[in-house]
Amino acid sequence: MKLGLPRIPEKLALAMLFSARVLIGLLFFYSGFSKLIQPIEYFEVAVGLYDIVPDAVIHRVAMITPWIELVGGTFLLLGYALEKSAVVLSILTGLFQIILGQALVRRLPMDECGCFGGGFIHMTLYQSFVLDTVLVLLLIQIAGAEKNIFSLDNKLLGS
Amino acid sequence: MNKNYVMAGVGIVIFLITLVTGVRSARGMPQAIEAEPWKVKGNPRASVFIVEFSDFACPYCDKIRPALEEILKAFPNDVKLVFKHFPLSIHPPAPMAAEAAECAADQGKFWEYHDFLFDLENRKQWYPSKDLPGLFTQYAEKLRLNTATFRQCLESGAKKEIVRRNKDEGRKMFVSGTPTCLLNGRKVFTNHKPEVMKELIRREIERKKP
Repeated sequence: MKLGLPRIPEKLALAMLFSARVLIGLLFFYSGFSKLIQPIEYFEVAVGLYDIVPDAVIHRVAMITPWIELVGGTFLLLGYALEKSAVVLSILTGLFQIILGQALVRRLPMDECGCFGGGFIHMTLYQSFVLDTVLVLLLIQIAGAEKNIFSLDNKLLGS
Repeated sequence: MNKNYVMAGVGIVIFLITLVTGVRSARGMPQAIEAEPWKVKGNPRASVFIVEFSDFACPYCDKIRPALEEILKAFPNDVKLVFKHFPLSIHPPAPMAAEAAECAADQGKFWEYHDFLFDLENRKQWYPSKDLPGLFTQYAEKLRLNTATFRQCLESGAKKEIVRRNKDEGRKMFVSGTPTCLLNGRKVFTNHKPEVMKELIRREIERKKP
C-alpha cells in the first residue's frame, strides 16, 4: 500500500492519517460554523479587507465559503466521500494561501487572518499561511491514501 | 454508488443546515454596538450610523478620513460616525496612541487629538519615537490640555481597558484590519469611494424611513 509515508508501519501510518483527518475536519467545521452563525456581513468585512475579491462577488464568496468549510470539514471528519472532500478542501486552502500570500506581500494593514471569525482562535496572516501550507500537504496525503480507518466510506461502500 | 451512500450524504447536509439555522435563531441578532458619546460625530440621533474601526498608525485610515467627512457634510441630519479603536499588532506604538486619544477625550478633545495624531508630519514623528508618553504629552500641551492630568492618565494605563474593549468588539464582528467601516453596525463598506459610500447610505436612509 502506498501512503506516501515511507518507513512507517501501516497501522501507525493509518492512525496518523486518521488523526490528521479528525483535526483538519474539526478545524474546518469550526471555521465554517463560526462564520455561519454570525451575520454574513461580518465575514464580508474579512473578505473585503484582502482587497482582491471584486466587490460584486464579495457577498457570494462570503456566503458560499463557510458552507464549503462546514460540509467539507464534516465529511472529512466522518470519512464520507473522503477523497473528494480532501481534494475540495485542499483546493480551497490553496486559494486561501494565494489570498494570504498577496496580503503579506502587499503588507496590508491586517492584524489577523479573519479565518475563524470572532471566535477564540486568532491568527496572524503569517501564522495562517504556515498553517495552510501544513493543511494542504496533509490533505494531499489524505486524498492520495488508498486505505483509511473509521470512515463512513468503509462502512457504506465496504471498501 | 449505492442509494444508502447518497442518502447518508444528504442526511449529513440536512443535519448541518438544521444545526446552523437552529443556533442562529437561538442566538438572535448580535447586540448593537455601544457608541461612546465622545467618539461620535454628526447628529447623535441619526438613524444611520457608520462604525469606523481605526488605527492611528495606519496610513489607509488617514486616507479614508476625507471621505467620511464628506459623508457627514452630505447627510448632516441622517448620519453619525462612531469611532472605535482597532490598533493593529503590526503597529507597536498604536495602542498607546489610542490611549492618549482617550486621555484627551477626558478633557473634551478627542477629535482634536485624533486629527493631531493622524497628521502625517506628527505621525512620522511619534511612530518611531522612543518616548511616546513624553511626545504625546507635548501634543496635549499644543492642544492646551492639562498636561499633568493627561500624563497621569496616560502613564497609569487607565485607558488600556477601553482600547482593548473596542478591539474585542471589532474582533467579534470579524474585523481583522483597518480601516473597517460598517454601515449601521452590519453592512460593510468594501469600497471606500465617497460616491459609492453615499449611495449605500442613501439606500439605508430610505430603508429606515417609516
